[in-house]
Amino acid sequence: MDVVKIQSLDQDQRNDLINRRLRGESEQTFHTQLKSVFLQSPEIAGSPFLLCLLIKVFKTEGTIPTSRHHLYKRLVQGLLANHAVKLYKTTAGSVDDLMQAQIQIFCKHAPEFLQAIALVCHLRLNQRDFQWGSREAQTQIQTKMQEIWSNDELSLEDMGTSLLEPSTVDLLSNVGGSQYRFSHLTLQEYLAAKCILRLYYDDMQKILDQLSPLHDRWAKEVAQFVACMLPDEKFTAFCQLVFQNTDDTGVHCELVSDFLKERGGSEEVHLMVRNRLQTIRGTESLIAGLCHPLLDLRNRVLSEMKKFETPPNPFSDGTTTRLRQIAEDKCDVWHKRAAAIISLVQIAQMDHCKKCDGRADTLAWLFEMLTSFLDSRFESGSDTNHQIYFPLVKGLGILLKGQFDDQNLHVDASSRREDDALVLKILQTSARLGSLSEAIADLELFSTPLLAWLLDQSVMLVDGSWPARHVFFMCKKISPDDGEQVLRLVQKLLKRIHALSFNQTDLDSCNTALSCTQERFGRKQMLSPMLQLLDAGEADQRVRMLAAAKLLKLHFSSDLHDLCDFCVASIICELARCLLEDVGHTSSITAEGGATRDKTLLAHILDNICYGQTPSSD
Amino acid sequence: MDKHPVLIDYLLEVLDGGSTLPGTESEASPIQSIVNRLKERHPWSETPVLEEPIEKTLLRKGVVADPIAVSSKQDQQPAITLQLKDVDSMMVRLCSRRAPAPGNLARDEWPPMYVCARLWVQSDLMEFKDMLKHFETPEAVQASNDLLGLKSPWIQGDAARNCKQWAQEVCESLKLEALGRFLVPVLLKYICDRFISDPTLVINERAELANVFQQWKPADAEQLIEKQILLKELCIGRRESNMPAWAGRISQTKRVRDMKEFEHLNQRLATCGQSDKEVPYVTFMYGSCNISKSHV
Repeated sequence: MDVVKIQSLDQDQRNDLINRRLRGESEQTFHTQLKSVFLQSPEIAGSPFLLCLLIKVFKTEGTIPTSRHHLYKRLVQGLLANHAVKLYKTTAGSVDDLMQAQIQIFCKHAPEFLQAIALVCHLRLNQRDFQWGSREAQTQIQTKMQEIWSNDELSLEDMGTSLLEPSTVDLLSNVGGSQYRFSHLTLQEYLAAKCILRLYYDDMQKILDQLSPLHDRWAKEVAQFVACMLPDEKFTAFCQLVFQNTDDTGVHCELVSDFLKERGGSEEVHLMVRNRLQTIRGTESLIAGLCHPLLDLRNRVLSEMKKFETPPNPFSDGTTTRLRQIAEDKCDVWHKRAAAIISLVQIAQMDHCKKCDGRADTLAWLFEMLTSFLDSRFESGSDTNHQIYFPLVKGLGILLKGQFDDQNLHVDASSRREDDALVLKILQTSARLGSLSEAIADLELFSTPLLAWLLDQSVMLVDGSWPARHVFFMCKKISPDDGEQVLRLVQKLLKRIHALSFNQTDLDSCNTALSCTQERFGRKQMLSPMLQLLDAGEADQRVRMLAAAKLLKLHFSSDLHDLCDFCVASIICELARCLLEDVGHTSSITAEGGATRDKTLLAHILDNICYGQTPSSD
Repeated sequence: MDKHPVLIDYLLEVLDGGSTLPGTESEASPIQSIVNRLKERHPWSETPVLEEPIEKTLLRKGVVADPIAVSSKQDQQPAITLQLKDVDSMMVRLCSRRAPAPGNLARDEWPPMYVCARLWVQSDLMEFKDMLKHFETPEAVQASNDLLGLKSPWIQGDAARNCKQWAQEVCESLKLEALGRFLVPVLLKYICDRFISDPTLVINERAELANVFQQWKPADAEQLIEKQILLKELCIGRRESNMPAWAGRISQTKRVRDMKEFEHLNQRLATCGQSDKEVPYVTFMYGSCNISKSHV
């Protein structure tokens, strides 16, 4: 069987529905009113059912209710009034004074009747459908209703006859024989809540007794309606009673939080929720949750912290201090340390922690950890320490880029500028960088001040201590408008390839960086510095330069002719001859065949780059 | 086995080389076939070729079925407990040091290692993709899928048929030192999925689980928070906090309920027509709703 799922309406669908039901000026008024409702309760405007109800109420009254229970109240009133008119018109033909009086009595008592049915069905019998008029109904529903029906003007039977037997009121539907149900479960829940309030308004404990356990699926939504219909002072008293009940899990905190979300804030109750949750979790449990090896569990604990803002200041109450201790403790298991790091940075990103400088402190602490990472790795010689690198870099990424897994936290632009300044400050003041440079490379950090600082550090860029993949990343990111910086970066890159200390593992990154630079800024930037380097260093260094020239398909003679440097071709030829000789000497140490092969290869490259031609078969 | 170097060499060559085991294609028993081949191949060897060590090696490698294991598998319990413990001890090893390279593990340790790696992926504390690739075998994938589904042979019983027994077994598995920690999110996901599939049908199941977990005496703070979170989930489900993935799920549940409610309204629409006047207030139009069809 195919089952359909009803999604919330999106903006276009909402507008379409409103447009079809309302036309003209009233549509604009409705949209204006809906905006404020949407801000307060987005669910009302998104639900097709509730939006239809809002439109209907608006058509009748010109305004739309701002809360769910007000909407249901209008709905019930309207439906009953319609039903009463239809009912008495049918029996009497026209509405005279007597009928009018009957209508009034009906409209006065019908809500009580519906509420009583709803309460009995929903909370006493836990069922949707009910029977009316049968013997079974006498024993089941009506007996229980009788206990709460205290109306002298109309009997239960009379009300049942008026509401159910002639034709079903739109609130109720006949589902076969003498079986009925409320058209929507939420209607039953709303009416049950109204009944509870009518019967026990002055006794909060009795209200709570009716709804216990609060998290029961039959009680939860009714409790939500009850809480939203209570005035402020009674709501506070109600919540106090809720928190007096046993709860070792935090369920009540979640439920009260839902009440607050729908009915609006009450600082006193917010505080109650925070304190209660803090007591339930306790410090040890909280830390254990934050250091749990599994993401799902950590996220749930962090989610609670963020939602309930508890503890209110983890940076001063010892929570983050404890996490730092765990992260720094080399004797602890690696996954606990790693989880502590990730949780710590996520806490630092939380809105309620921003006011206490926690983020800046955590960032500085992370830098410190990264700086000392290599030392501690060598000292301890432990494999487990290696596994701390991943969370450290990930943590730095979360702080600097605002990544928060799937929680969509973003760092605003001003924070980002502060971060850039902080990164730079740390780089400028650190005597050693440890793994910080690797972390910056892994995170693909780039900013103009960072680039300027790096270009001033010629040693780090040239001797290979700065990660080649980040040099490539900078080549991708550098602005073409800044010609001087581009030239300097190209020079550094070529010097790195030419350097004696060149690490072959960097070759791919360096070659990609060269290709990227040529593609973005053209080859002319490279010719001059490359020519200088071809004339310097050992044979190996010059060979690397030639290989780079080959990679970029540079033709020095023709390319430099464009620069009006006519003697370049002869210089290149001379350099090539010297290089071939040098390579011959170097290779003579090795096998004869190897030297011949190297020389042939070089001759091929040289012919290619010097003259732009393929060598002869000789 | 050290007394049979020729045998060991030959067996390892055959087994690790991935070639067909000699004799398995013929009607002769694999063990007898190996003995015959060994005698043919090394006629000069003075080492006696005995069947027993060959058999043991083959059993260890899992090439031939262990008759004792086969019979005990029929009554399941002992073998399963052992397997959970195997994975648990592997998990303890992984908790304290880096993952071993495939070459450093015996082949029969690969499936539990793969299962552990699958569970560790949920940690998001390091990369496990390579490890998963190295140890992946169809059997290991199946075993880990069964464990992630909290199904037999790991967890005996059927949640739908005998929920109490099943819940007790799950609770016992949570008490395992290392593996237990990793089963908590598996169980949380299981509860969510079951709840989404049919909120009303799983009420008893959730209540049974809640009863069993209430009895669980946590050994430390870690287990305490796990118990609290599990019970909270069983009571009300995770709230719509700030996690889009979950927010989608809980909304979906609400939608399912709405859908059931609207089913009845739609019937009324069909009988009363679709005019505003005839079906006041509770009108509901397919065209104005964002309805997606799916097979549940």
